[in-house]
Amino acid sequence: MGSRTGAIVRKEARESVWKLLLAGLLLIVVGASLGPMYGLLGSLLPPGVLEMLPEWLKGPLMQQIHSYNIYIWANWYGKNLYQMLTLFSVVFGAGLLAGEVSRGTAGFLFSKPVRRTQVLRTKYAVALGVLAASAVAGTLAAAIASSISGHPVDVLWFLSGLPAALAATALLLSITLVSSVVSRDTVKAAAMAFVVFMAISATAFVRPLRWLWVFGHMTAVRTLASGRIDWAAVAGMLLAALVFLLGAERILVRKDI
Amino acid sequence: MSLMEQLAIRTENLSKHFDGVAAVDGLDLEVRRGEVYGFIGPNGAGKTTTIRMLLGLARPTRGKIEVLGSDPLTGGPEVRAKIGYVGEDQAMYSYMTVRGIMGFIAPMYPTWDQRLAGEIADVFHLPLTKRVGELSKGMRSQLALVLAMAPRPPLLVMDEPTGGLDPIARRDFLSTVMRSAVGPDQTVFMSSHILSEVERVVDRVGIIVRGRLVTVRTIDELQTVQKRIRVVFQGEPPAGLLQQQGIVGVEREGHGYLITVEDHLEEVMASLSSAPVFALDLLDMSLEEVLIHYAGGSRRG
Repeated sequence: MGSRTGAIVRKEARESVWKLLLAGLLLIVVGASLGPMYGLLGSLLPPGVLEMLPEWLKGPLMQQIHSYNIYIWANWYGKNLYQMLTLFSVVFGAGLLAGEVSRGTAGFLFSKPVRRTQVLRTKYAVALGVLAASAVAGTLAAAIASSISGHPVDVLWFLSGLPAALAATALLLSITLVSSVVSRDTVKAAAMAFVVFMAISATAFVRPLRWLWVFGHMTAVRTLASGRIDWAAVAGMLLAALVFLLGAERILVRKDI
Repeated sequence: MSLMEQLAIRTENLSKHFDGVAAVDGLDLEVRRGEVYGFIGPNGAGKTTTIRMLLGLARPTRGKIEVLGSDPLTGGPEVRAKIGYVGEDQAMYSYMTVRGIMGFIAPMYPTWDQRLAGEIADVFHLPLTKRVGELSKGMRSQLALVLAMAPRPPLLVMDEPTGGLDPIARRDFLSTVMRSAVGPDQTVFMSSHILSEVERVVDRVGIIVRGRLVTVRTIDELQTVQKRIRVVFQGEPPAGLLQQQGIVGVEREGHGYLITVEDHLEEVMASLSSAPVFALDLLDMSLEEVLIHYAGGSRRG
């Protein structure tokens, strides 16, 4: 690592400490709470209510009641992890460059002998690292809490959902990075990214476009069903993330600071 | 050394438009290596936009720039490593301490001189453990100067560096720049809207008004080349008298006229004194009046 890159990495790491604490703690707490919550599943429903539920709701619920593995996967990858990684991608990503511009430090930073692409890549890598570390910590917390609460899971099996979740996070973060480069305002950048995410969500309802549904891939449901990591989807999302990252770089290089 | 090699900064027909409005308009600038160049103009004249283009922070709409022989847009970090920059707003990372921000910037410059950084910080009594956000505006300017000068850059670019400082702090600041930065091979390019602020330190002054360079002179030339004549005629002035060569400005002042003359002072004085006048006085122009003349002249033009 060059000394310039090292200086930027140290700065970004320092600025990301609160992000790591926030995301890491939240994901650890949520992950750790899933195991103890399993006992409450079903028992909270009044007698007879389960039978009254429609089949589309009753089926998955029954699967989760009967299988802890399905329960932990559905509630971690299928619900909490992807929602929080999406939220943090927007919250952390929107300020990556727009934050420098809005607080007036972009001119100071880019007048120094650093490449704009070098700064942007470092910011992206550190933010992604924070999200990945938080996701891994939360996932391990969920696995450990499961064992403690009497429902041990195969940790390797449980971690196998992470590649899809993290590849999708890389893509969402790169999309937010583009909006952060385009906009000079963090809130506007977040709003732009949110609109794009809504558009991505809409692909879930259009069968020919469902392969674009990043959030579906993010839940790693195919890994749960097949027992194998969907490397094609992972590679596709990483490739798309790279395209958006390069796009953000191209915009930044041509942009007036 | 060829003419190009003698120049630290050269722009050719440099223009920058924002939404179709020219902030910088066909600027031809030549700053020699080793000189202290004052880039003077009223607010909104295009000084900051020009400096941002010199640093590669903004792309010209058209025209060419060479800074130390390279294009700052394509030259990359190697060009900026040779430029020390003190910005107008002194925006830095407020959470870093003075020592911390020096530690952040130092690895970016292969020529960073920690001893010089410490010396300048000592001159300004900068508290190394204090956070940037807790520093006064004056201290932030001083810190920006430390960060700009410690790499011993061949070119120091300062954009209104003393804005908001009191006169004593302003004098100390500029004295430190001159004492520590200016060697025979070091060029200083500084913008200001106050001509008298820089007159003590600059070798030449370029006056920019509405994005155009209207004159480049030494301070001595500025003070001598333009004079003002106050004249009160007996009745109306003879036809054509106030339109003769050398008269660059005429203002009505009560019963008399205030005439600005450039270059042809003796001829103008002779023709005015031959006309029926009640009073005829030759006045020195202050540097601020010179600037106002150029700025006002441009507006009229």
